[in-house]
Amino acid sequence: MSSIQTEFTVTTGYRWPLRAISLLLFLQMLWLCGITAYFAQRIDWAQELADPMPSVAALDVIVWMAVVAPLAVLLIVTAVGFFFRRRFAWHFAMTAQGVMLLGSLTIYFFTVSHLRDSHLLYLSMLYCILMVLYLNTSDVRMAFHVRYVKIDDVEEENEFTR
Amino acid sequence: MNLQDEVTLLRRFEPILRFTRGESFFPLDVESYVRQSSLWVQRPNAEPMLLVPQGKLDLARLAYPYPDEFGTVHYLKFTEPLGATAMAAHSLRQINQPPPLHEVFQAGRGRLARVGYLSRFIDALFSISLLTRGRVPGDAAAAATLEYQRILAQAEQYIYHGRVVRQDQWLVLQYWFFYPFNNWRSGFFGANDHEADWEMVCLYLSEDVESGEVQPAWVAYATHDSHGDDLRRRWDDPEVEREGEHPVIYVGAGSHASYYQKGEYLTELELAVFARITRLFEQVRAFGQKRLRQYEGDEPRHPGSETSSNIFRIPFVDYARGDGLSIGPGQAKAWGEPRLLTPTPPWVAFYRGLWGLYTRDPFAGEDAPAGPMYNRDGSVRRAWYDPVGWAGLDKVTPPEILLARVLQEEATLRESQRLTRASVEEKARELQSLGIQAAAMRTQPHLYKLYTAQQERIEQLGQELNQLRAKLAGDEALLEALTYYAEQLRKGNESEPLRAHLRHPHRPPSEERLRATRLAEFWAAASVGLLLVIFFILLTVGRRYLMIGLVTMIALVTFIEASFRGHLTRFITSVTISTAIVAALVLVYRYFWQIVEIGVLVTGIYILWENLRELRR
Repeated sequence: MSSIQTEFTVTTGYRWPLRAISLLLFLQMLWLCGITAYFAQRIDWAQELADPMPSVAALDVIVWMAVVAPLAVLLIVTAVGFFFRRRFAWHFAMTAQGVMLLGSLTIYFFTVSHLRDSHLLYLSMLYCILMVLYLNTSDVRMAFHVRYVKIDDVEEENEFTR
Repeated sequence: MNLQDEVTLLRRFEPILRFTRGESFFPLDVESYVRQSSLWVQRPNAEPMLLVPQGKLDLARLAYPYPDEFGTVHYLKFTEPLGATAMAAHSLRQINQPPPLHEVFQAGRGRLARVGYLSRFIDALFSISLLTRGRVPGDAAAAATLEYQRILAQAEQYIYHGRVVRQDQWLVLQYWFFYPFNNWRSGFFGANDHEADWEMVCLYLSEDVESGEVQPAWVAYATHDSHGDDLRRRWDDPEVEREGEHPVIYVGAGSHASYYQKGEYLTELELAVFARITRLFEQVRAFGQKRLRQYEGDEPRHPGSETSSNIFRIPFVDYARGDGLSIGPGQAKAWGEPRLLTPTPPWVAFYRGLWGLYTRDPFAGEDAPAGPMYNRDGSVRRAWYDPVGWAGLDKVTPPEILLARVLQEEATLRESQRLTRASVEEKARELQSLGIQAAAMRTQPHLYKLYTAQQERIEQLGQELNQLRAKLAGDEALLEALTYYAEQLRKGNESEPLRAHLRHPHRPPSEERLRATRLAEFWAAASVGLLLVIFFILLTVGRRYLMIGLVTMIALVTFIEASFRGHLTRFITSVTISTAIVAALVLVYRYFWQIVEIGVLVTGIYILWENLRELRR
């Protein structure tokens, strides 16, 4: 038998930080949706739809929305995962922060988008940095400490002890 | 012990050497090597000069004093470069008469597939550096092989040099093996090639005081990555393979390092150039772990482990598979008559030069080693003057006299306690007297100076008394421990676990860890080169997209790498943390004064809050 059994345990001491992260991720999702709505309402969509070519500012917001929409879904899934203490949640949370930071840095370094002049972008970066630091603390990492136990090994061990 | 007894003892425990398939050089007598060599001298800022030509040199002549100025290096030269014709003839012979397939070395899983990306990149730089720094010429290994085969054809014999030393109640048997050439780099993808190679193993015997019978207690093999305690194993350790009273040594292919178990050992070369960067890297990580409570991880962190923390290292594999020739009692080849190094022969004591070509390599890896007694710089080797301390055995008592020493220690401690107790009583009495005198002086103003001095003395004596009482309490506990230890020894119970002394034992990775797909192997070998080629293309045709192209390429390459190595979690963590650091720098750059202002404001509010809270109490 070559399958791998995953043993995952979360002790009661770790529950509080996990629920706090769940809440923080949910707030991050709300924040992203909020600033996306703010960016979007600054564009005159009626004018943009009337023009054959959308403006650069409108394109920036569309690209931003294309990145944020899946990220918001990912954050909801992750928040639920943390609440129910699922193993994938930590990887998803870290990936979401990484994607968000990479996106923000790309806007900062490689574009002339008007989004880079908005303080909201930098506040998002700050939120992500704090989340990364918290997700990587020993308490949180230990809560997701995963032990892989090969079923073959377990059987051999049992046989040996018989 | 006379010389014959020493030889008998050496032969009784002589080791069995198991080589890897494809090994070309085996231990030989230094006499035949020196007779084939010439002696040279390299003075500072001068061309090398021949002192004794080939055919005129022997061990007696090698021991002559050769006084010279500071910075001078004397060295032997075993072979001359083959020349184009001889090299072509040798290559043709190799093609026409290839060795049987079962004698040919197969590398198996490449060394590059075992280590991280940066290490591979540094390895590429190290390989390029070989073009500029001193190194053994490419045809030297072939020339040495031919010369060695000629020596073997004259008289095939396998010889070790033995030494018997008494130190700290241990009887130490040293087995020195001399190889004419180290072809680790040219033959087995290792770090270096050099003429001549001295390797050594030690056997530590415990001697029964009454019967004089000896029992092996420890062995220590010289390896690349181990020092002190990590070098030795207890004789009854299952890791020490034995055939009767003969320990089995697995010899590294080309490098001739000695190992307890067969396997493929990852050894790491740490370059001094990267020492500062490594230190800085460690400090940043320590700050993150201690101050920001960041996760430390649970992977082992020591040289030789495949997940070692030092990324600025060059990986090499030392193949000690033991599937080649075996030399020793009852093996395919037997040892010839050993050459004794006691009393120290003049060629050992007086020849301080190198035993092969001096290439002036700044890393010294390509320079030949000095003899058994000396380091390359002419200082005496610790393994020679302190074989017991070399393996960290200087704190260990031979088992045959252990109980007696424990009882002696117990008696000494009891006596020391008796004296301490007497001293405590005396000082306690003195302190009480001083206290009485001080109390009497307290109401006498004219005795102020005396009173002050008395107070100082009381303070000092109080401290001394406290120290003595603490010592007494500590000794009491130690005495109890010693009594218990002696009791256990009387019952014959081993008190110390077999491997309690080991800190970073160097072990080969398991077969399971060595399994890798062909694709992963190919990726490991090609990735660094591929990265540089894409970089070149970006530089020449797509300079506009250079930055974004580089970032994407590196991200993609490291992602593939992490997937192959099963390190996706570490990859995600590293990338996200690195991005967070860059983002933090961007924030600091953009909002520097705002950050300072907020910092001052927060500090002010905090101080205000703390002070007001104190007032409320």
